[in-house]
Amino acid sequence: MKQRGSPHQGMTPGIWGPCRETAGRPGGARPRRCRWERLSSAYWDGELAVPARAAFEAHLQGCPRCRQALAAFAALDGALKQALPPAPAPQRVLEGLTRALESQAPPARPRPAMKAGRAPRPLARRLTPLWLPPHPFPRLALRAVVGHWALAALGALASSLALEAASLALQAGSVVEAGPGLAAAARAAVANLPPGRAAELLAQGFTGLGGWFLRLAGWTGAWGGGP
Amino acid sequence: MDDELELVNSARKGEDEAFAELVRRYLPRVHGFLARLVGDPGHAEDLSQEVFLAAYRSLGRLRDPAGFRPWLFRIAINRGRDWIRARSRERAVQSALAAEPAGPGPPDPADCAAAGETSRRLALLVASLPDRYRSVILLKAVGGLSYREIAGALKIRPRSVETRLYRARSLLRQQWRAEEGEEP
Repeated sequence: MKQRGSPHQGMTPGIWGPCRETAGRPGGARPRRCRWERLSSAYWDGELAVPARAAFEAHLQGCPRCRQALAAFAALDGALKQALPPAPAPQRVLEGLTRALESQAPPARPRPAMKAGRAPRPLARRLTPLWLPPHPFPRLALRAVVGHWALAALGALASSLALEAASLALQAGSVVEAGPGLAAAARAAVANLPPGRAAELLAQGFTGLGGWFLRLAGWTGAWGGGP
Repeated sequence: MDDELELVNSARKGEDEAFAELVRRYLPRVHGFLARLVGDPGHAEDLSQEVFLAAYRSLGRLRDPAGFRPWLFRIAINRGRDWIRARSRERAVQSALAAEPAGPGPPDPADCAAAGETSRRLALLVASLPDRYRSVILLKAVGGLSYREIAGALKIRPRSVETRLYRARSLLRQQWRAEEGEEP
């Protein structure tokens, strides 16, 4: 996170000295509000920078409202310390923690210093989809399953296309002299179909991979009658 | 603080005794913070354990050892908020109202004072604050963090910490006056 300078620089209201809300009120009437009051909390916590602290102290002399707020925050702080003491954890928490830590692997060693900014994730993690669970075993298992499934799907697709090519070639009643690549196989297969046979096959509802095979042949120029 | 920096560095190198000392030092604060944040002292015990286990596992990834305290409370805040999300916040607050204050063993005079009516009512007011104000009040009053450390733990600007603390205190003051007609 970007750290700015002192959090309290430039935090005093624009005009130092007696606040406008206090000044000039007849009979010392209590002002309704004072812009300086918001500094009273940080002043009480000792979090004001020196110039702001000095300015606020000077302001306090003439502002009963800020003095009152400061006194209230001081009283509140004391009451909060009593109301919210650090809760000593039960011994069983410490014992349970000790047992759990004993069963833990040693912590990761400190990483070497890196340039500011986000550390690059390891390649394996960058390749892992974000929706995978964070624990290593399910991640590895899922990665393996997803990887194998993808390979199997690609294999099945390639096999189907090859089978469709062979099927078309057989329907054409000739030996397909397929060149390298799927488009060449399509062109060779469709070129050997009798005239009008390809359109007839499509009209008969030759759908699925076979239909796409014919369309591919049309797109690659082997057959002028595209879908 | 130098002593703490040394402890953190030793713990990062794998010295378990140094980490145990950090646990002894911060467990009461983290437990107290979580008890008030989630409003359930029983679950705060489990969450405190989880916080320190997570800290132990990822201590090597802490970039700035001097920022150990905000980092630790950041883990606590995340765990606490996860738990609150899992349950309904209303239920958590109601539970806090019934079980305040936490802590076993025979009460000492300080505990007796904390268990007083004023303290109990003030703790209830804190529990009913919106989360953005409750977090800063708890990190300050229970965690004992500085504004800069609170900013690091909540990932907000130090100026926002100051504003939120002022508003949280003003809210508590107003609500207290509305109930009691005087300052606490």
